[in-house]
Amino acid sequence: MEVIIDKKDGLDVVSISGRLDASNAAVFDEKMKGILSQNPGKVIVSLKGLDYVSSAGLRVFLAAVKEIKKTGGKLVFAQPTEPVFKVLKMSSLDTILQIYNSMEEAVSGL
Amino acid sequence: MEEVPLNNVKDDLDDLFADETEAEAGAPRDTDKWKVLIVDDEPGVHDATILSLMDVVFDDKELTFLQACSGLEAKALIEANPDCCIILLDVVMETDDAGLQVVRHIRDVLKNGLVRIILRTGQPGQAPEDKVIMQYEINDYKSKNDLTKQKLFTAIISALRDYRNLLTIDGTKRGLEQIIEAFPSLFEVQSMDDFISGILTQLSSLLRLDESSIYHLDSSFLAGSSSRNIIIAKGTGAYGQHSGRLASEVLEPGEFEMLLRAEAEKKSIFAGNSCAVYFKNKTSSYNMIYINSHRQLSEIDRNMVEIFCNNVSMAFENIEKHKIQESMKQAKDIQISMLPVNFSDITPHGIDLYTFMQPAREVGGDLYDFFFIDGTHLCFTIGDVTDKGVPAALFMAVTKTLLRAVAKLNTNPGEILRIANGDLCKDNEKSMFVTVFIGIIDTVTGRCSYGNAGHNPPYIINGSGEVKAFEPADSPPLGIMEDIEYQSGELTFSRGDTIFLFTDGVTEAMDIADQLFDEGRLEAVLSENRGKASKAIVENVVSRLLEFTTSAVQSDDITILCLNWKG
Repeated sequence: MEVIIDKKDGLDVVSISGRLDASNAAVFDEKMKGILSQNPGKVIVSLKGLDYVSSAGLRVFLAAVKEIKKTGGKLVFAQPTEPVFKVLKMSSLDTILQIYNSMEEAVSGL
Repeated sequence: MEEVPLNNVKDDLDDLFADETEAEAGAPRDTDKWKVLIVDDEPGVHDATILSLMDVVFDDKELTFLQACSGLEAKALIEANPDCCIILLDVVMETDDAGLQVVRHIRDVLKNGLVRIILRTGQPGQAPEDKVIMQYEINDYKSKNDLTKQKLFTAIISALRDYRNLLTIDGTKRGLEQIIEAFPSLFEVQSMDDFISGILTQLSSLLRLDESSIYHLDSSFLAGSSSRNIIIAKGTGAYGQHSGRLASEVLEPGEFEMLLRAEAEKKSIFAGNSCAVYFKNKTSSYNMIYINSHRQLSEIDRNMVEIFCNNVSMAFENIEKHKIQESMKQAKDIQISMLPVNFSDITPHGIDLYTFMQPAREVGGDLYDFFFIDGTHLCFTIGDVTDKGVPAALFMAVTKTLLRAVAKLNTNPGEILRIANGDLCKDNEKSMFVTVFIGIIDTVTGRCSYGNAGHNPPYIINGSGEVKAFEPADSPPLGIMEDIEYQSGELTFSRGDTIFLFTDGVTEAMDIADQLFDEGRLEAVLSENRGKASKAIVENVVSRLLEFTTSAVQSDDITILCLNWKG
């Protein structure tokens, strides 16, 4: 798993790639907490390079969304790969998380 | 052999030394001197030897003399004084080889290899040098004609030097042996309290390397520093009564200063009779031992204490790990005991049910359950909590209990999920969630209602071997968001139909090349095993899974519930 954090045009883009599972979910959780502690207004989590996500990873997604709501910010997800979207769909989390197919849609969704 | 009253000679000598040392504030104890044993049946030799050597000071220590006039006396004296450094030993006394017998006794019976033995003989013909030095473990051979002051001085200094070096080596060896012996017992200890007592006991015995030294029980204590205050965890000697107190209240300011320095510099500090030993315990915590000895701590002591404390750090970690392992084992037992295995109890109701669960770690976040709501309705569930380990296991236990409680009052799966979700959402700071599939089957008619909260869809295998997956869940897992409606679905089992519930640990099990087991492989095994008993189906899926993953590490909990309705 690799996480790249990029700030542009007033929003934070977190690009996660590789596999996100129980073995590294805590690391990703820490990174997200670090970003959210700076009270960002708008965050896009790009799932373009993410090959696999387990339920442990989904928990971090949900926790991040919950956390940013406290400060009135917004966090959306963009460009999920097919296997990741399958997991999101199967767990019906696509009904709760805001997921967009492209970065443009994600930006306008914020 | 001439009788010489030993005590008289001693008294004379004491007087001699008394004269010289009177001016000093306190005469040094005998233990602070090098002990030299003179064994000779001629009183003149004793006097001459003492006169020659009485001014000798080596390593800031004077000599003190023990005297024996026969082999027999010599044996008794050396036995009573194992810390004797040198023996000036006559050969011919009560017998022609009395001195040689003394050598044998010291080396072979008393096993004292440290004391330096200088053989002195007036009749070299009785004990030829070549023969004796080969056959007896002596360190020097002198003719009594060599008794000039200078030659004796040289022989004594050289012997003392050897003795001192041997003592260092021996002390180190004994200390190391003791450390090695101490650790197995320390590692076995299971409570922290016993462990700390063990450390202090071992440490104080370690510092008594020089057994002949007379000093009181060393005082030491072990302190932990949790906040800014250094608290005494346990003490011995003068600190025995101070457990739980602040070190700053117990120690003199200068002594406490030493402890603070050790803490600040993260290393052990030695000064005079005291030392403050610092050892890291785990990443963030550390402990210190303060030792106040009644003698100056030597270089050997320091080395030993350092080595010992390095090992203590390891043992500390071990005991922490042991504690965690123990509690994980207990947690595992508790968790397993929560899951029902009374499969045979439900067979009379026309249900052939079998389950399998294998957590990836000691405790897992998967759950399954089955129980009768009334005489004819069997409720069965499977669930998967996000993440693994202890938080997941706790959430799993809560979920399972909650579902059972709610299901006893409601017969509608969607309603059961809705109520359980509401409860799980409360105070769920960690955003844990659980996917759940719940079904309630009428064991008489085969009618089954079900609800799915984000769980991977189960399979229905009919008599012809057709494997059909349920529709994906249309509602999210429990614990995420309050006020969510969960739908109930319904289907009717035909006789022999099997429902196969599983967690994603099955389909997402990976082989060593990171390939997923996937739905395809699972469906194939299920199809091959159509018509078989639930137990056979479950076992075949598991064995196929094992074949697939081989030596790959299991990364997720694996749980299966298979139910066959016989009607």
